[in-house]
Amino acid sequence: MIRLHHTEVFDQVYKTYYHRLCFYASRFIKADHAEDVIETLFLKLWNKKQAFETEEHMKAFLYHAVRNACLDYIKVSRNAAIRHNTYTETQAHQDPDPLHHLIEAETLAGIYQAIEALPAQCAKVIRMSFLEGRDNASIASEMNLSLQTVKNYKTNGLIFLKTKLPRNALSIIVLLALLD
Amino acid sequence: MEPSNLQEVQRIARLFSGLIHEQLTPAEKAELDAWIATHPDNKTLAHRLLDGDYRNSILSIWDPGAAEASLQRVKHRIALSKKRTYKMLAAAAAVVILLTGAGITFYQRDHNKSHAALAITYKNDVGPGTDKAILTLADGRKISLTDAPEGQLANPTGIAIVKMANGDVVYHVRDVKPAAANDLTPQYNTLETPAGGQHRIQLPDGTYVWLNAMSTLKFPQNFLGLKERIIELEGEAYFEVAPNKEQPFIVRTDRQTIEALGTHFNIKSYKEDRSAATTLLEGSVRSSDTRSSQSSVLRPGDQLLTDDRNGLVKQVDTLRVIDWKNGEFIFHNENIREMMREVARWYDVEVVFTDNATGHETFSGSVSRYDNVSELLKTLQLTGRVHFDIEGRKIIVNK
Repeated sequence: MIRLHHTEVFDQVYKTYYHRLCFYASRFIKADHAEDVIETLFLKLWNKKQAFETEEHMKAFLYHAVRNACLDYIKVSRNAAIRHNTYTETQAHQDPDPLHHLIEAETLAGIYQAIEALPAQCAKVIRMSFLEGRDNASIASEMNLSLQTVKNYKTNGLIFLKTKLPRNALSIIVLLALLD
Repeated sequence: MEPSNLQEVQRIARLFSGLIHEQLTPAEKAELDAWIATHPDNKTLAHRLLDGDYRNSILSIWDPGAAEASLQRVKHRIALSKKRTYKMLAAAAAVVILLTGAGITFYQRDHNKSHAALAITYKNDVGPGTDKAILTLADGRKISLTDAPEGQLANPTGIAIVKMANGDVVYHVRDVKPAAANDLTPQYNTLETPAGGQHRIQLPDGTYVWLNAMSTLKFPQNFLGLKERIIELEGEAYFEVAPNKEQPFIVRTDRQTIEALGTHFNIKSYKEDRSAATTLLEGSVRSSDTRSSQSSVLRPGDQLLTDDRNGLVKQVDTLRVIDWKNGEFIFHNENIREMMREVARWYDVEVVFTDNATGHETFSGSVSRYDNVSELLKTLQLTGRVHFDIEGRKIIVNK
Protein backbone atom coordinates (compact mmCIF):
# COMPACT_ATOMS: atom_id res chain seq x y z
CA MET A 1 0.00 0.00 0.00
CA ILE A 2 1.14 3.53 -0.74
CA ARG A 3 -0.44 5.79 1.85
CA LEU A 4 -0.22 9.40 0.78
CA HIS A 5 -1.21 10.57 4.25
CA HIS A 6 2.27 9.64 5.53
CA THR A 7 4.36 12.78 5.34
CA GLU A 8 7.47 11.08 4.02
CA VAL A 9 5.50 9.16 1.39
CA PHE A 10 3.62 12.30 0.41
CA ASP A 11 6.85 14.29 0.06
CA GLN A 12 8.53 11.62 -2.00
CA VAL A 13 5.56 11.11 -4.33
CA TYR A 14 5.16 14.85 -4.73
CA LYS A 15 8.79 15.43 -5.65
CA THR A 16 8.82 12.40 -7.95
CA TYR A 17 5.66 13.32 -9.84
CA TYR A 18 5.56 17.10 -9.68
CA HIS A 19 7.36 17.95 -12.93
CA ARG A 20 5.88 15.25 -15.12
CA LEU A 21 2.34 16.09 -13.97
CA CYS A 22 2.95 19.82 -14.54
CA PHE A 23 4.27 18.98 -17.99
CA TYR A 24 1.23 16.81 -18.74
CA ALA A 25 -1.17 19.49 -17.47
CA SER A 26 0.62 22.14 -19.54
CA ARG A 27 -0.41 20.19 -22.65
CA PHE A 28 -3.98 21.21 -21.82
CA ILE A 29 -3.70 24.54 -20.00
CA LYS A 30 -1.10 27.30 -19.50
CA ALA A 31 1.96 26.30 -17.48
CA ASP A 32 1.39 28.73 -14.60
CA HIS A 33 -2.14 27.40 -14.14
CA ALA A 34 -0.86 23.83 -14.44
CA GLU A 35 1.14 24.26 -11.25
CA ASP A 36 -1.94 25.37 -9.33
CA VAL A 37 -3.90 22.38 -10.63
CA ILE A 38 -1.23 19.98 -9.30
CA GLU A 39 -1.04 21.69 -5.91
CA THR A 40 -4.81 21.64 -5.48
CA LEU A 41 -4.97 18.00 -6.50
CA PHE A 42 -2.39 16.94 -3.91
CA LEU A 43 -4.07 19.02 -1.20
CA LYS A 44 -7.25 17.06 -1.89
CA LEU A 45 -5.43 13.72 -1.90
CA TRP A 46 -3.88 14.52 1.48
CA ASN A 47 -7.19 15.53 3.03
CA LYS A 48 -8.86 12.40 1.65
CA LYS A 49 -6.03 10.24 3.07
CA GLN A 50 -5.77 8.64 -0.35
CA ALA A 51 -4.00 5.27 -0.54
CA PHE A 52 -3.08 3.11 -3.53
CA GLU A 53 -2.53 -0.61 -3.93
CA THR A 54 0.49 -0.22 -6.20
CA GLU A 55 2.59 2.48 -7.79
CA GLU A 56 1.02 1.62 -11.17
CA HIS A 57 -2.44 2.37 -9.77
CA MET A 58 -1.22 5.61 -8.31
CA LYS A 59 0.41 6.72 -11.53
CA ALA A 60 -2.69 5.95 -13.61
CA PHE A 61 -4.85 7.74 -11.05
CA LEU A 62 -2.64 10.85 -10.96
CA TYR A 63 -2.51 11.34 -14.72
CA HIS A 64 -6.22 10.72 -15.00
CA ALA A 65 -7.02 13.17 -12.18
CA VAL A 66 -4.75 15.86 -13.66
CA ARG A 67 -6.42 15.52 -17.05
CA ASN A 68 -9.90 15.84 -15.51
CA ALA A 69 -8.83 18.80 -13.41
CA CYS A 70 -7.48 20.53 -16.53
CA LEU A 71 -10.68 19.89 -18.45
CA ASP A 72 -12.69 21.28 -15.52
CA TYR A 73 -10.40 24.27 -15.41
CA ILE A 74 -10.92 24.92 -19.12
CA LYS A 75 -14.69 24.64 -18.68
CA VAL A 76 -14.76 27.07 -15.76
CA SER A 77 -12.45 29.62 -17.36
CA ARG A 78 -14.38 29.39 -20.61
CA ASN A 79 -17.64 30.10 -18.78
CA ALA A 80 -15.99 33.00 -17.00
CA ALA A 81 -14.64 34.25 -20.30
CA ILE A 82 -18.09 34.13 -21.85
CA ARG A 83 -19.53 36.02 -18.90
CA HIS A 84 -16.83 38.64 -19.03
CA ASN A 85 -16.64 38.61 -22.78
CA THR A 86 -12.88 38.14 -22.68
CA TYR A 87 -10.35 36.08 -24.50
CA THR A 88 -10.23 32.46 -23.39
CA GLU A 89 -7.37 30.04 -22.87
CA THR A 90 -6.23 28.42 -26.11
CA GLN A 91 -5.73 24.71 -26.36
CA ALA A 92 -2.85 24.83 -28.78
CA HIS A 93 -1.33 21.61 -27.54
CA GLN A 94 -4.31 19.34 -27.96
CA ASP A 95 -2.75 16.63 -30.07
CA PRO A 96 -4.83 13.79 -31.53
CA ASP A 97 -3.71 11.10 -29.09
CA PRO A 98 -3.41 12.01 -25.38
CA LEU A 99 -1.38 8.85 -24.84
CA HIS A 100 1.46 10.63 -26.61
CA HIS A 101 1.54 13.28 -23.90
CA LEU A 102 1.89 10.51 -21.36
CA ILE A 103 4.70 8.80 -23.25
CA GLU A 104 6.49 12.12 -23.53
CA ALA A 105 6.02 12.94 -19.83
CA GLU A 106 7.18 9.48 -18.78
CA THR A 107 10.25 9.51 -21.06
CA LEU A 108 11.36 12.92 -19.79
CA ALA A 109 10.66 11.82 -16.20
CA GLY A 110 12.89 8.78 -16.71
CA ILE A 111 15.80 10.99 -17.75
CA TYR A 112 15.11 13.51 -14.98
CA GLN A 113 15.11 10.81 -12.32
CA ALA A 114 18.29 9.25 -13.63
CA ILE A 115 20.02 12.61 -13.17
CA GLU A 116 18.49 13.18 -9.73
CA ALA A 117 19.70 9.72 -8.64
CA LEU A 118 23.31 10.92 -9.06
CA PRO A 119 25.21 12.28 -6.04
CA ALA A 120 23.98 15.84 -5.43
CA GLN A 121 27.06 17.73 -6.66
CA CYS A 122 27.40 15.53 -9.72
CA ALA A 123 23.70 15.96 -10.59
CA LYS A 124 24.10 19.71 -10.34
CA VAL A 125 27.09 19.74 -12.69
CA ILE A 126 25.26 17.52 -15.19
CA ARG A 127 22.21 19.81 -15.11
CA MET A 128 24.25 22.97 -15.57
CA SER A 129 26.40 21.64 -18.33
CA PHE A 130 24.10 19.46 -20.42
CA LEU A 131 20.68 20.93 -19.74
CA GLU A 132 21.55 24.59 -19.36
CA GLY A 133 24.51 24.49 -21.74
CA ARG A 134 26.94 26.24 -19.36
CA ASP A 135 30.71 25.92 -19.92
CA ASN A 136 33.04 24.17 -17.46
CA ALA A 137 34.74 27.36 -16.26
CA SER A 138 31.51 29.10 -15.25
CA ILE A 139 30.26 25.95 -13.49
CA ALA A 140 33.57 25.61 -11.64
CA SER A 141 33.47 29.20 -10.41
CA GLU A 142 29.79 29.11 -9.39
CA MET A 143 30.10 25.82 -7.51
CA ASN A 144 33.51 26.63 -6.09
CA LEU A 145 35.09 23.53 -7.66
CA SER A 146 38.29 23.02 -9.64
CA LEU A 147 38.00 22.72 -13.40
CA GLN A 148 39.21 19.12 -13.18
CA THR A 149 36.52 18.20 -10.63
CA VAL A 150 33.84 19.58 -12.95
CA LYS A 151 35.24 17.47 -15.80
CA ASN A 152 35.32 14.38 -13.58
CA TYR A 153 31.72 14.88 -12.50
CA LYS A 154 30.68 15.18 -16.13
CA THR A 155 32.52 12.03 -17.22
CA ASN A 156 31.43 9.94 -14.23
CA GLY A 157 27.89 11.26 -14.37
CA LEU A 158 27.50 10.29 -18.01
CA ILE A 159 28.92 6.80 -17.40
CA PHE A 160 26.52 6.37 -14.52
CA LEU A 161 23.56 7.58 -16.58
CA LYS A 162 24.35 5.13 -19.34
CA THR A 163 24.72 2.13 -17.08
CA LYS A 164 22.11 2.74 -14.45
CA LEU A 165 18.89 4.10 -15.84
CA PRO A 166 16.56 3.37 -12.96
CA ARG A 167 13.69 1.03 -13.77
CA ASN A 168 11.78 1.56 -10.59
CA ALA A 169 12.23 5.08 -9.37
CA LEU A 170 10.04 4.74 -6.33
CA SER A 171 11.92 2.04 -4.47
CA ILE A 172 11.84 4.10 -1.28
CA ILE A 173 8.07 4.43 -1.41
CA VAL A 174 7.74 0.69 -1.82
CA LEU A 175 9.91 0.26 1.23
CA LEU A 176 7.87 2.68 3.29
CA ALA A 177 4.69 1.01 2.13
CA LEU A 178 5.96 -2.29 3.48
CA LEU A 179 6.17 -0.78 6.95
CA ASP A 180 2.39 -0.54 7.08
CA MET B 1 -7.00 5.54 -18.02
CA GLU B 2 -6.99 1.79 -18.64
CA PRO B 3 -4.16 -0.03 -16.85
CA SER B 4 -3.21 -1.70 -20.15
CA ASN B 5 -2.73 1.75 -21.67
CA LEU B 6 -0.45 2.79 -18.85
CA GLN B 7 1.61 -0.34 -19.29
CA GLU B 8 2.05 0.46 -22.97
CA VAL B 9 2.93 4.06 -22.12
CA GLN B 10 5.57 2.95 -19.64
CA ARG B 11 7.00 0.36 -22.00
CA ILE B 12 7.40 2.86 -24.88
CA ALA B 13 8.75 5.53 -22.53
CA ARG B 14 11.34 3.10 -21.23
CA LEU B 15 12.38 2.16 -24.74
CA PHE B 16 12.77 5.85 -25.61
CA SER B 17 14.89 6.63 -22.56
CA GLY B 18 16.89 3.46 -23.23
CA LEU B 19 17.56 4.65 -26.76
CA ILE B 20 18.56 8.10 -25.53
CA HIS B 21 21.01 6.57 -23.05
CA GLU B 22 22.32 4.13 -25.68
CA GLN B 23 21.46 1.00 -23.79
CA LEU B 24 18.85 -0.83 -25.89
CA THR B 25 19.37 -4.40 -27.04
CA PRO B 26 18.89 -4.96 -30.79
CA ALA B 27 15.53 -6.64 -30.06
CA GLU B 28 14.33 -3.66 -28.02
CA LYS B 29 15.50 -1.27 -30.72
CA ALA B 30 13.50 -3.27 -33.29
CA GLU B 31 10.44 -3.18 -31.01
CA LEU B 32 10.62 0.61 -30.75
CA ASP B 33 11.17 1.03 -34.49
CA ALA B 34 8.12 -1.11 -35.18
CA TRP B 35 6.02 1.03 -32.82
CA ILE B 36 7.24 4.25 -34.42
CA ALA B 37 6.34 2.90 -37.86
CA THR B 38 2.72 2.09 -36.94
CA HIS B 39 1.46 5.68 -37.08
CA PRO B 40 2.64 9.06 -38.42
CA ASP B 41 1.85 10.61 -35.01
CA ASN B 42 4.24 8.14 -33.41
CA LYS B 43 6.91 9.31 -35.81
CA THR B 44 6.31 12.94 -34.87
CA LEU B 45 6.65 12.05 -31.20
CA ALA B 46 9.86 10.09 -31.80
CA HIS B 47 11.29 13.00 -33.75
CA ARG B 48 10.58 15.35 -30.87
CA LEU B 49 11.87 13.07 -28.10
CA LEU B 50 15.09 12.19 -29.91
CA ASP B 51 15.92 15.87 -30.38
CA GLY B 52 18.39 16.64 -27.58
CA ASP B 53 17.83 20.40 -27.74
CA TYR B 54 14.09 19.95 -27.30
CA ARG B 55 14.58 17.59 -24.35
CA ASN B 56 17.07 19.89 -22.67
CA SER B 57 14.82 22.89 -23.13
CA ILE B 58 12.19 21.10 -21.04
CA LEU B 59 14.45 19.34 -18.55
CA SER B 60 16.28 22.58 -17.78
CA ILE B 61 12.97 23.91 -16.40
CA TRP B 62 12.45 20.75 -14.33
CA ASP B 63 14.29 22.14 -11.35
CA PRO B 64 14.21 19.98 -8.16
CA GLY B 65 14.12 23.25 -6.18
CA ALA B 66 10.88 24.23 -7.92
CA ALA B 67 9.32 20.90 -6.95
CA GLU B 68 10.40 21.42 -3.34
CA ALA B 69 9.03 24.98 -3.31
CA SER B 70 5.71 23.80 -4.69
CA LEU B 71 5.59 21.02 -2.08
CA GLN B 72 6.09 23.62 0.66
CA ARG B 73 3.18 25.67 -0.74
CA VAL B 74 0.95 22.60 -0.58
CA LYS B 75 2.02 21.93 3.00
CA HIS B 76 1.27 25.50 3.91
CA ARG B 77 -2.23 25.12 2.48
CA ILE B 78 -2.65 21.84 4.39
CA ALA B 79 -1.63 23.57 7.61
CA LEU B 80 -4.10 26.39 6.97
CA SER B 81 -6.97 24.00 6.36
CA LYS B 82 -6.08 22.07 9.53
CA LYS B 83 -6.18 25.26 11.58
CA ARG B 84 -9.64 26.06 10.28
CA THR B 85 -10.92 22.55 11.04
CA TYR B 86 -9.45 22.75 14.53
CA LYS B 87 -11.12 26.07 15.30
CA MET B 88 -14.48 24.67 14.21
CA LEU B 89 -13.94 21.52 16.27
CA ALA B 90 -12.93 23.47 19.35
CA ALA B 91 -15.99 25.68 19.06
CA ALA B 92 -18.23 22.66 18.50
CA ALA B 93 -16.68 20.78 21.42
CA ALA B 94 -17.18 23.72 23.76
CA VAL B 95 -20.81 24.06 22.76
CA VAL B 96 -21.51 20.35 23.15
CA ILE B 97 -20.05 20.25 26.63
CA LEU B 98 -22.07 23.29 27.69
CA LEU B 99 -25.28 21.73 26.38
CA THR B 100 -24.79 18.41 28.10
CA GLY B 101 -23.75 20.10 31.31
CA ALA B 102 -21.08 17.48 31.89
CA GLY B 103 -18.08 19.13 33.43
CA ILE B 104 -17.41 22.84 33.56
CA THR B 105 -16.44 24.63 30.42
CA PHE B 106 -14.65 27.83 29.84
CA TYR B 107 -14.21 29.11 26.36
CA GLN B 108 -13.12 32.53 25.46
CA ARG B 109 -12.37 34.55 22.37
CA ASP B 110 -10.06 37.54 22.57
CA HIS B 111 -12.68 40.06 21.56
CA ASN B 112 -15.72 39.04 23.55
CA LYS B 113 -14.68 39.21 27.16
CA SER B 114 -17.77 39.12 29.28
CA HIS B 115 -18.59 41.82 31.81
CA ALA B 116 -18.46 39.24 34.55
CA ALA B 117 -14.84 38.46 33.65
CA LEU B 118 -13.99 42.16 33.70
CA ALA B 119 -15.39 42.38 37.21
CA ILE B 120 -12.81 39.92 38.52
CA THR B 121 -9.57 41.63 39.53
CA TYR B 122 -6.33 40.41 41.05
CA LYS B 123 -3.71 42.24 43.07
CA ASN B 124 -1.18 41.86 40.31
CA ASP B 125 -0.67 39.92 37.07
CA VAL B 126 1.99 37.74 35.44
CA GLY B 127 2.89 37.95 31.75
CA PRO B 128 3.21 34.89 29.51
CA GLY B 129 6.43 33.04 28.78
CA THR B 130 8.63 34.00 25.83
CA ASP B 131 11.25 32.49 23.51
CA LYS B 132 14.09 31.96 25.95
CA ALA B 133 16.83 29.32 26.21
CA ILE B 134 20.48 28.65 26.92
CA LEU B 135 22.58 26.79 24.36
CA THR B 136 25.62 24.97 25.71
CA LEU B 137 28.28 24.06 23.15
CA ALA B 138 30.57 21.00 23.18
CA ASP B 139 33.41 23.10 24.62
CA GLY B 140 31.21 24.14 27.55
CA ARG B 141 30.55 27.67 26.29
CA LYS B 142 27.04 28.89 27.17
CA ILE B 143 25.07 31.20 24.90
CA SER B 144 21.91 33.00 26.01
CA LEU B 145 19.70 32.84 22.93
CA THR B 146 17.53 35.71 24.14
CA ASP B 147 20.45 38.13 24.25
CA ALA B 148 22.46 36.84 21.27
CA PRO B 149 22.19 39.00 18.13
CA GLU B 150 20.80 37.61 14.91
CA GLY B 151 23.42 35.85 12.78
CA GLN B 152 26.18 33.33 13.37
CA LEU B 153 26.47 32.22 17.00
CA ALA B 154 29.35 29.76 16.69
CA ASN B 155 31.10 27.63 14.09
CA PRO B 156 32.49 24.37 15.46
CA THR B 157 34.13 22.05 12.87
CA GLY B 158 31.94 21.57 9.82
CA ILE B 159 28.93 23.37 11.31
CA ALA B 160 27.53 26.88 11.43
CA ILE B 161 25.11 27.68 14.28
CA VAL B 162 22.93 30.59 13.28
CA LYS B 163 20.20 32.58 14.98
CA MET B 164 17.58 33.43 12.37
CA ALA B 165 15.51 36.61 12.12
CA ASN B 166 12.52 34.83 13.72
CA GLY B 167 14.71 33.73 16.64
CA ASP B 168 15.02 30.08 15.57
CA VAL B 169 18.42 28.46 16.00
CA VAL B 170 19.57 26.58 12.91
CA TYR B 171 22.51 24.18 12.59
CA HIS B 172 23.90 24.34 9.06
CA VAL B 173 26.21 21.55 7.89
CA ARG B 174 29.05 23.35 6.10
CA ASP B 175 31.25 20.38 5.30
CA VAL B 176 29.67 17.13 4.17
CA LYS B 177 32.67 14.89 4.74
CA PRO B 178 34.04 14.11 8.19
CA ALA B 179 37.53 15.53 8.62
CA ALA B 180 39.05 12.53 10.36
CA ALA B 181 37.98 9.30 12.03
CA ASN B 182 38.43 10.69 15.52
CA ASP B 183 35.87 13.37 14.66
CA LEU B 184 33.24 10.64 14.64
CA THR B 185 32.85 10.70 18.42
CA PRO B 186 29.69 12.74 18.83
CA GLN B 187 30.14 16.20 20.34
CA TYR B 188 27.07 17.01 22.40
CA ASN B 189 25.31 20.36 22.57
CA THR B 190 22.48 21.15 24.96
CA LEU B 191 19.47 23.42 24.61
CA GLU B 192 17.78 24.27 27.88
CA THR B 193 14.63 26.31 28.51
CA PRO B 194 13.80 27.82 31.92
CA ALA B 195 10.33 28.14 33.43
CA GLY B 196 8.51 30.70 31.28
CA GLY B 197 10.65 29.89 28.25
CA GLN B 198 10.33 27.98 25.00
CA HIS B 199 12.48 27.70 21.90
CA ARG B 200 12.70 26.23 18.42
CA ILE B 201 15.77 24.66 16.87
CA GLN B 202 16.66 23.04 13.58
CA LEU B 203 19.16 20.21 14.08
CA PRO B 204 21.98 19.59 11.56
CA ASP B 205 19.93 16.86 9.79
CA GLY B 206 17.04 19.27 9.15
CA THR B 207 14.86 17.94 11.97
CA TYR B 208 12.81 20.68 13.61
CA VAL B 209 12.24 20.66 17.37
CA TRP B 210 9.95 22.84 19.50
CA LEU B 211 11.08 22.80 23.12
CA ASN B 212 8.52 23.67 25.80
CA ALA B 213 9.27 25.35 29.13
CA MET B 214 11.62 23.74 31.69
CA SER B 215 13.00 21.26 29.19
CA THR B 216 16.43 20.08 28.11
CA LEU B 217 17.44 18.68 24.74
CA LYS B 218 20.85 17.07 24.30
CA PHE B 219 21.98 16.32 20.74
CA PRO B 220 25.18 15.69 18.74
CA GLN B 221 26.27 18.92 17.03
CA ASN B 222 26.82 16.88 13.83
CA PHE B 223 25.21 13.59 12.80
CA LEU B 224 27.80 12.91 10.11
CA GLY B 225 29.18 9.38 10.22
CA LEU B 226 26.96 8.36 13.14
CA LYS B 227 24.95 5.14 12.83
CA GLU B 228 21.97 6.64 14.62
CA ARG B 229 20.73 10.11 15.46
CA ILE B 230 20.36 9.82 19.23
CA ILE B 231 18.78 12.69 21.16
CA GLU B 232 18.11 12.94 24.88
CA LEU B 233 15.13 14.81 26.26
CA GLU B 234 13.85 15.85 29.61
CA GLY B 235 10.61 17.84 29.65
CA GLU B 236 8.41 18.38 26.60
CA ALA B 237 9.24 18.71 22.91
CA TYR B 238 7.54 18.38 19.56
CA PHE B 239 9.61 16.80 16.75
CA GLU B 240 9.32 17.03 12.99
CA VAL B 241 11.95 14.53 11.98
CA ALA B 242 13.78 14.83 8.65
CA PRO B 243 13.51 11.44 6.92
CA ASN B 244 16.72 9.45 6.60
CA LYS B 245 16.27 5.70 6.64
CA GLU B 246 20.02 5.13 6.85
CA GLN B 247 20.17 6.91 10.20
CA PRO B 248 17.27 6.14 12.54
CA PHE B 249 16.21 9.05 14.74
CA ILE B 250 16.02 8.04 18.39
CA VAL B 251 14.80 10.07 21.36
CA ARG B 252 15.58 8.84 24.85
CA THR B 253 13.87 10.02 28.01
CA ASP B 254 14.24 8.47 31.43
CA ARG B 255 11.09 6.44 30.88
CA GLN B 256 10.74 5.91 27.11
CA THR B 257 12.78 5.37 23.97
CA ILE B 258 11.26 6.49 20.68
CA GLU B 259 12.59 5.42 17.29
CA ALA B 260 11.31 7.34 14.28
CA LEU B 261 11.82 7.20 10.56
CA GLY B 262 10.57 10.66 9.57
CA THR B 263 7.51 11.66 11.49
CA HIS B 264 5.84 14.22 13.72
CA PHE B 265 5.45 13.45 17.40
CA ASN B 266 5.28 15.04 20.81
CA ILE B 267 7.02 13.79 23.92
CA LYS B 268 6.07 15.00 27.38
CA SER B 269 8.36 13.64 30.06
CA TYR B 270 8.67 15.88 33.11
CA LYS B 271 10.17 14.24 36.17
CA GLU B 272 7.54 15.88 38.39
CA ASP B 273 4.66 14.37 36.35
CA ARG B 274 3.29 10.94 37.25
CA SER B 275 3.56 9.62 33.71
CA ALA B 276 5.43 10.27 30.46
CA ALA B 277 3.52 10.52 27.18
CA THR B 278 4.57 10.15 23.55
CA THR B 279 1.94 11.12 21.00
CA LEU B 280 2.23 10.47 17.28
CA LEU B 281 0.73 12.96 14.83
CA GLU B 282 2.04 11.66 11.52
CA GLY B 283 3.98 8.65 10.23
CA SER B 284 4.90 5.85 12.57
CA VAL B 285 7.32 5.37 15.46
CA ARG B 286 8.47 2.44 17.54
CA SER B 287 8.42 3.29 21.19
CA SER B 288 9.67 1.28 24.10
CA ASP B 289 9.69 1.41 27.85
CA THR B 290 13.25 2.31 28.84
CA ARG B 291 13.36 -0.19 31.74
CA SER B 292 11.29 -3.17 30.55
CA SER B 293 12.25 -2.55 26.86
CA GLN B 294 8.74 -3.68 25.97
CA SER B 295 7.98 -2.02 22.64
CA SER B 296 4.99 -1.03 20.56
CA VAL B 297 4.42 0.64 17.19
CA LEU B 298 2.33 3.81 17.35
CA ARG B 299 -0.10 4.98 14.64
CA PRO B 300 -1.14 8.59 14.11
CA GLY B 301 -3.35 9.69 17.01
CA ASP B 302 -1.89 7.07 19.37
CA GLN B 303 -0.41 8.06 22.70
CA LEU B 304 1.89 5.87 24.75
CA LEU B 305 1.54 6.65 28.43
CA THR B 306 4.21 5.27 30.73
CA ASP B 307 3.95 5.58 34.50
CA ASP B 308 6.08 4.03 37.20
CA ARG B 309 4.70 0.57 36.60
CA ASN B 310 3.52 0.09 33.03
CA GLY B 311 2.76 1.48 29.59
CA LEU B 312 -0.58 1.96 27.88
CA VAL B 313 -1.44 2.97 24.30
CA LYS B 314 -4.64 4.91 23.62
CA GLN B 315 -6.07 7.23 20.96
CA VAL B 316 -6.07 10.91 21.94
CA ASP B 317 -6.97 14.30 20.51
CA THR B 318 -3.59 15.32 19.12
CA LEU B 319 -4.46 19.02 18.89
CA ARG B 320 -4.80 19.08 22.63
CA VAL B 321 -1.38 17.48 22.99
CA ILE B 322 0.40 20.09 20.87
CA ASP B 323 -1.70 23.04 22.06
CA TRP B 324 1.44 24.57 23.58
CA LYS B 325 3.23 24.56 20.22
CA ASN B 326 0.22 26.25 18.61
CA GLY B 327 0.14 28.96 21.28
CA GLU B 328 -2.88 27.72 23.19
CA PHE B 329 -4.02 25.98 26.31
CA ILE B 330 -6.62 23.38 25.42
CA PHE B 331 -8.10 21.38 28.25
CA HIS B 332 -10.62 18.60 28.09
CA ASN B 333 -11.90 17.27 31.39
CA GLU B 334 -8.49 18.16 32.75
CA ASN B 335 -7.76 17.92 36.44
CA ILE B 336 -7.06 21.33 38.04
CA ARG B 337 -3.79 20.15 39.57
CA GLU B 338 -2.44 18.98 36.19
CA MET B 339 -3.58 22.22 34.56
CA MET B 340 -1.86 24.30 37.19
CA ARG B 341 1.41 22.41 36.70
CA GLU B 342 1.42 23.55 33.06
CA VAL B 343 0.52 27.07 34.17
CA ALA B 344 3.43 27.06 36.63
CA ARG B 345 5.92 26.00 33.96
CA TRP B 346 4.76 28.49 31.32
CA TYR B 347 4.15 31.53 33.54
CA ASP B 348 7.09 30.76 35.81
CA VAL B 349 4.91 30.96 38.90
CA GLU B 350 4.49 28.96 42.07
CA VAL B 351 1.05 27.41 42.57
CA VAL B 352 -0.30 26.81 46.06
CA PHE B 353 -3.52 24.93 46.82
CA THR B 354 -5.19 26.04 50.07
CA ASP B 355 -6.61 23.40 52.37
CA ASN B 356 -10.17 23.86 51.20
CA ALA B 357 -9.32 23.48 47.49
CA THR B 358 -10.32 19.96 46.53
CA GLY B 359 -7.98 19.65 43.57
CA HIS B 360 -10.39 17.21 41.99
CA GLU B 361 -12.29 19.66 39.78
CA THR B 362 -12.02 19.12 36.03
CA PHE B 363 -12.33 21.78 33.35
CA SER B 364 -12.66 21.93 29.56
CA GLY B 365 -11.99 24.77 27.16
CA SER B 366 -9.27 26.78 25.49
CA VAL B 367 -7.50 30.13 25.91
CA SER B 368 -4.46 31.76 24.32
CA ARG B 369 -1.10 30.97 25.85
CA TYR B 370 0.14 34.47 25.04
CA ASP B 371 -2.30 36.27 27.34
CA ASN B 372 -1.43 37.24 30.91
CA VAL B 373 -2.11 34.54 33.46
CA SER B 374 -5.11 36.52 34.77
CA GLU B 375 -7.04 35.79 31.55
CA LEU B 376 -6.85 32.06 32.16
CA LEU B 377 -7.61 32.39 35.87
CA LYS B 378 -10.60 34.68 35.29
CA THR B 379 -12.19 32.30 32.82
CA LEU B 380 -11.73 29.43 35.24
CA GLN B 381 -13.05 31.49 38.13
CA LEU B 382 -16.20 32.38 36.13
CA THR B 383 -17.33 28.78 36.50
CA GLY B 384 -17.79 29.50 40.21
CA ARG B 385 -16.01 26.31 41.21
CA VAL B 386 -12.61 27.78 41.96
CA HIS B 387 -11.08 31.09 43.08
CA PHE B 388 -7.59 32.48 42.66
CA ASP B 389 -5.35 35.07 44.23
CA ILE B 390 -2.11 36.29 42.72
CA GLU B 391 0.61 37.42 45.11
CA GLY B 392 3.77 38.37 43.26
CA ARG B 393 4.68 35.23 41.33
CA LYS B 394 2.56 33.00 43.53
CA ILE B 395 -0.93 31.81 42.56
CA ILE B 396 -3.18 30.67 45.37
CA VAL B 397 -6.00 28.26 44.50
CA ASN B 398 -9.09 28.47 46.75
CA LYS B 399 -12.41 26.75 46.57
